[in-house]
Amino acid sequence: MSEADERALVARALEGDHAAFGELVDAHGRVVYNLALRMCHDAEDARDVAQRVFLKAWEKLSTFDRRNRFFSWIYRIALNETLNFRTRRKRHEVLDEALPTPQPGPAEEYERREEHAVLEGAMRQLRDDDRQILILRHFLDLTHQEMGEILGVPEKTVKSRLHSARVRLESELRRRGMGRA
Amino acid sequence: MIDERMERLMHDVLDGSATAEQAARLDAWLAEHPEARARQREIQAMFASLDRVPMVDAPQDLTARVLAALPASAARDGSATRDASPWPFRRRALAFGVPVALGLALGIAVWMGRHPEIGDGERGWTAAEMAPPGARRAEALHLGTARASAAAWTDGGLTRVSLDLHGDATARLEMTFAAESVEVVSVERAGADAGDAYTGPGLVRLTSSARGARWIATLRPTPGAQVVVTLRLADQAVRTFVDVTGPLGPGAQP
Repeated sequence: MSEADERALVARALEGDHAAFGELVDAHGRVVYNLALRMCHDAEDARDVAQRVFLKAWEKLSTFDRRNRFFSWIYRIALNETLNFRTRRKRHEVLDEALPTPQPGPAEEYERREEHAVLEGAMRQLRDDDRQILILRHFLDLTHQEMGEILGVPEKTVKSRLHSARVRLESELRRRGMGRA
Repeated sequence: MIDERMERLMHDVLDGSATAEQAARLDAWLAEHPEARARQREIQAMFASLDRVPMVDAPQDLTARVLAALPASAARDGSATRDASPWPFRRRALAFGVPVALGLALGIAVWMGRHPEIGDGERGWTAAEMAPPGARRAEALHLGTARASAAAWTDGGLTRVSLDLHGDATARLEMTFAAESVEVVSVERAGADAGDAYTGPGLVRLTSSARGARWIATLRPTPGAQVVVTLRLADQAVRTFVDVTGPLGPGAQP
């Protein structure tokens, strides 16, 4: 969806057009849901958080500065909502819970599942800001510039934070027998 | 021990954020330092593990749930998230109000979508008639007076999807997919009925006139691609899936 299309949808949504807002949900729902899923580690929670993100976006739409890009605004709301969720929830996380993933072929399945389990376990041990930046870059495939917009920091800071987060992730992976021998 | 600056450069190169000059400098340095090459392979393996974590599809009812929970107009006082918060749904099973309304709305939509008698006889043709034998059919969608159906089949290495939309009100039928997984080759009107088609990245949108419309979309999907078909009428929506990558029955153009 082009920025112009998105701006037009935002304008219509501001006039109360639910269908236009639905198109914005369609356009960004997948990324918002994946962000929530990787932060919350639970498909049901992620669905609720994703819903809450869009409801909050609807509520706050009049505060959206249309000179900015909609995605950076909605993803920032998503980051905040996932953090709010985690603060509210304070629940015990199930370490071995498998997140939904597309099914690979039978030969790869076991290896992939193992790898994902180790990676998920290591990610859960990281601080929220480390997790966020790794998710934005590697799971959601955003550029440094996009991440800078979302996080409200310069690209240089994004690079530096990414590096630090990866170093800490690698250390956690090594503790789980993955990575450096 | 690897110099920290060089290790940082390895990250930047693997991340695609290094300049060509920096990448060349790293290559030259790696050529002379075998222990650094081993270290680079370790970092590379971590990047690969991270990048292998797949994006999963959002729940198919996410948009419907959001729209069903929206207040009539944009709230200014936080009522949207207070009143329509998803939390009470699961945490307090006896809660009334919005959960009940949402459940009823979804239930009616599902019932209407599965009701076999509605619509087909009235319009005189269906997607099943447009598609050849062996085509994979999606569940018919019904919303208010609007009705839609879709079917997919292979044709000369491409996937053809028939979409029909009918009703006495202007409705929209959308086919959405990951833009990188499905290439839209063409969208052609298949009947005399009026209507407009719009194609954008990850989207084919068909808008009916009062008399309805039908189209054939020709796609080139990659393995595993999923296509969601959504019928929209005013601010309501129902949706279903069309499997466009399974072993579709071969068929000629209807």
